[in-house]
Amino acid sequence: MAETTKKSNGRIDALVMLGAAVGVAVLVNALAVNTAVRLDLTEQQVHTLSEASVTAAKALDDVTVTVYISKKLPDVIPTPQGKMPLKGIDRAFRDKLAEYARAAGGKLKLVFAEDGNPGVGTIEEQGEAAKLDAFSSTEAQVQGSTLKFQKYVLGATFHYKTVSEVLPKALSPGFYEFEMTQILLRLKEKYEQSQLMKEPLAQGKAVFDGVKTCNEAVQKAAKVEEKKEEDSGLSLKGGNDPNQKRLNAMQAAAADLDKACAPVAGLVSGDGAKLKGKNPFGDHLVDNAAEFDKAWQELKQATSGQAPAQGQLPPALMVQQLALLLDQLFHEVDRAHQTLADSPGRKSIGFLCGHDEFCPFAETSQLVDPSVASMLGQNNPMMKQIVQAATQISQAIDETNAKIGDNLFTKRGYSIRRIGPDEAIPNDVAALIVYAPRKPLGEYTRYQLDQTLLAGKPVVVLAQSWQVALLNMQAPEDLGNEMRMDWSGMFATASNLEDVLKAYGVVLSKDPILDSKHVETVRVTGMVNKGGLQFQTQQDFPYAMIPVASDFDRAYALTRSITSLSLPYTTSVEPSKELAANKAFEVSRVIRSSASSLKKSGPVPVLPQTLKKLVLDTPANGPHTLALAVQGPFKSAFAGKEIPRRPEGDSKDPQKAAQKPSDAEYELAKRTFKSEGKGKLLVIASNLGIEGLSRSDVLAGFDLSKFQQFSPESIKAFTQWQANFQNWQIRIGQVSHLLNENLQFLSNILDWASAHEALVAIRSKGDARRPMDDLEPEKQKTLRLEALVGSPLLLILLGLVRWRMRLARNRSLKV
Amino acid sequence: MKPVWILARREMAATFDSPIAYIAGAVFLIATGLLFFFGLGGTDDFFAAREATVRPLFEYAPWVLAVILPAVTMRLLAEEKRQGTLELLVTLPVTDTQIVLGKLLGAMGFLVVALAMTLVLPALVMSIGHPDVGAILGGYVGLLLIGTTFLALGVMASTWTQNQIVAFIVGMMLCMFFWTATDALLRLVLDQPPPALALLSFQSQFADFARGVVDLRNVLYFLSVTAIAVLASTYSLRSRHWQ
Repeated sequence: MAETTKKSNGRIDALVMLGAAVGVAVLVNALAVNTAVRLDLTEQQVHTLSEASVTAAKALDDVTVTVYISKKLPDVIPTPQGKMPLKGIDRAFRDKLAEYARAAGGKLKLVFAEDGNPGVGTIEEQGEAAKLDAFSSTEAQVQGSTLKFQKYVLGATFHYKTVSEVLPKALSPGFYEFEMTQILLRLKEKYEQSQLMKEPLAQGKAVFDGVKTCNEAVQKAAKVEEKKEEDSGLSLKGGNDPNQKRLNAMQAAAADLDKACAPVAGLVSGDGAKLKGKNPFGDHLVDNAAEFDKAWQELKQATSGQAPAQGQLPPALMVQQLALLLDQLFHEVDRAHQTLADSPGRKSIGFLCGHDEFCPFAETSQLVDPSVASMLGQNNPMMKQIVQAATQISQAIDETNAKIGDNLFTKRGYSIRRIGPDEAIPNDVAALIVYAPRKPLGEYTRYQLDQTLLAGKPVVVLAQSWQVALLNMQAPEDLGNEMRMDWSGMFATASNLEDVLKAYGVVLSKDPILDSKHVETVRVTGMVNKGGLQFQTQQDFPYAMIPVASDFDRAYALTRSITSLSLPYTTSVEPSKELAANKAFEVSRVIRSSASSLKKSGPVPVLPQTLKKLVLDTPANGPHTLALAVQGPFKSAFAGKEIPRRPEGDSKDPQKAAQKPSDAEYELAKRTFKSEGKGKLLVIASNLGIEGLSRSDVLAGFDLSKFQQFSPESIKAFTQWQANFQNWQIRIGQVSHLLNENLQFLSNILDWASAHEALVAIRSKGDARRPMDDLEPEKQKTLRLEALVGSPLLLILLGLVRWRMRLARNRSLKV
Repeated sequence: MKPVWILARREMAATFDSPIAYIAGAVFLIATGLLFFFGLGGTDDFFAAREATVRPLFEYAPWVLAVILPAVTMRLLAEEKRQGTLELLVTLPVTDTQIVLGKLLGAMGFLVVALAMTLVLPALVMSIGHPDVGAILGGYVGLLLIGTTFLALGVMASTWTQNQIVAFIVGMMLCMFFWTATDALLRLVLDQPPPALALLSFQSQFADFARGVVDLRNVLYFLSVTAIAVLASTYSLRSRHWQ
């Protein structure tokens, strides 16, 4: 009995002890959840806040961060690049925010949005209302009779005094620090500048609020009838036609609608008129509000019961369409107001345009005046069609450029401005980017660049000396034949940057830099014939003309934290002897190629295998400088010369035509001319793979006068334009796999140019790609085999040695 | 602690005297190497990715360790029980806890050697690029911790039976459960598992190491599971007095 009790007690003791141990472990782990003792072993301290972030967090008093995290995030979500894993991302986001809160020493408060609070909706609904970008997973869920994708949110809003900023979608843990520090810096600037812009902001808000009240009333009235129908299933006045019901409802609510919407006209002509001309974003808001008011007046008329004029839609249909239009216009007003509210402190970066460079804007003028185009068809309908098709190509170019500008810059918080060849650079432009022009810069543009540099504003020049095309399309010689797509080559651009930069002591070479070892791949598009059908194929080849640089000036903010960068079709850039010897200048070789690189006068064979052979047969003479930064007291290239007058400009652009150059303007330019000044110049001898798409390049030789009558040349020219557009796509496709990384570098350049140097190093932390050397397939096989077989073999050999030793020892013991 | 060291050294010598250490070691190295170069589906190509990183090693090595380490621990106590040598062992002036710790430390010798042999992979990557050495170091700390936890679970399974095969299967299932199934199971039971419970998953805890971050919370977690497994093994051994 005693024995049984002892056994039983032993079991109970063990269970109690084990339970207690589990309890202690759970307690210790639970207590540790909120501790932040950790060791970041990465070389760039990728997972630790940098000094600049800590300073930014401490610089603001009383920041409230409202955090929106969906309760159950999916493991993966689809993206255009494939599936993106999200496992543990919520924890990484919370941890990073907590790190900022700790760094701010109580000045930054975190508030987590909760589900189920009355009147606020789910976390996803709250997030969307706070302007977060919701996203969905790959799994659809059945809701009623439809399949719906569940929405998720992961982001935050940052509030400081009267201003706020949104982190709409936090899906890249590597960039959390960059995004959050950028927001904190922006909040400070925005608040300070908004104090100077109180009046326009208040006027803008008044206009927006008026439009919002009106739209809400209209949408409510337009929706109420549909709801009643759903609820009761009864046929109300107006029969079953929902448009008629909507019209009836809006007529019934006419007095309320008028009360809500009447102030809009007054606001547009009152606050709106005061706002107009003070701020370009304000102008945009007022224009949109005026459009809204116009649509409201039409809606009011349509609901008044007046008989429609001849050719007009029936009132019921018109009301439906106008209600929809009002809602769309409201969203435009909302967007414009948001842009105005965001504008304080935003620095503009100018992009030079008009020389076939990378210019992320639509053209300011139309290719063909629509009234002229319609007249063309009277003589020859075929010619009219060709002009229409050319206009479509032109529109496609404009849309592509505008979309690039919007996605790459505007949506990322940069304010960019187009600077035409006949335009003076406005004073509010904080920096100038000259992005790989393929045509020579005119005298006036050179003068503008000169004065911008001497005014102390950063000037960034990216050069493109060569266009490399591994596959080219060309119009056939004879009409009726198919387009040729069988040749490759490299062509020198007509850029005169070499000459422009010489005036500032920078020697830009036109000789391509090749590398035998440290290279990225080029994507070659080809056509194969299978069973009589043509298929497009793509294959990557290591390419000597895309050297990968890993030698950077770490003292320079732009390259402090990057590990490698591929520079397609780069040449080299060096300081002149005089500049190098001048102690007043700080000259930095920011990026250098590897020792295995070589400089060879172009053109060189472009096909990967031929080029490789050439590179292997030529001795290396690297490293070469691929990017050069110069800071110091520059002298004007126009000192002692006649200042160029501003050219007339594009007469097709009404705005430009109104701003004709005047003598007074020229006199002012002469008086304000700077003959020297401290400046910052950065020259990169590559376009980073981003080739400009321009109308004048694609539609080369377009001349409307040639389309009056039919001619075979016109049709041939049209085919060539199509080919030119496709050639641009092919050339971008050759390096498309490198663009993501290079666009990050471009963003760094913009931050550097807009004096946010701290952000440059932080962004690069999240983009630490470390490329490996280019290896021959044979070498890859050998290395793989060595690694796979080497260590197991070594282990087995050690075992055999140990076994033999044991045998020998046993034998000796027996003896 | 001296008896623990004596036991550990004896255990390590015994492990490396038996062919199982070399077979398990070679299988671990080959499997890890193949996964490193070709991925789980055999379709990836390490060289084609053109990135100087050792991340695939930290991605796949825990899977292989979850299978291989129970094979090393299966004989530790099950075999002693089967052969009756456990009775001899307990007559020595050592406590049950010391026996378990000694066995665990002995098995860790194998783990250290196996992990050391994989250093050939970082060495290869360093010869053809510039990987982040700090991140590699963090990954190895993580592998050592997760490997130790797997060993502790394997030792625990070995105390429950006299049959090595049963010990291996149970040990492997335990390791696999913690490595892969915790997360899925939690989601099955709870629609919205609280963040604290979601942290039970080994994969979540290991992720930071693979990024090069040694976080006290992750270290504490692995040490806690190891300690509980050691304690459970000790009571399992002690249970012979109650039967």
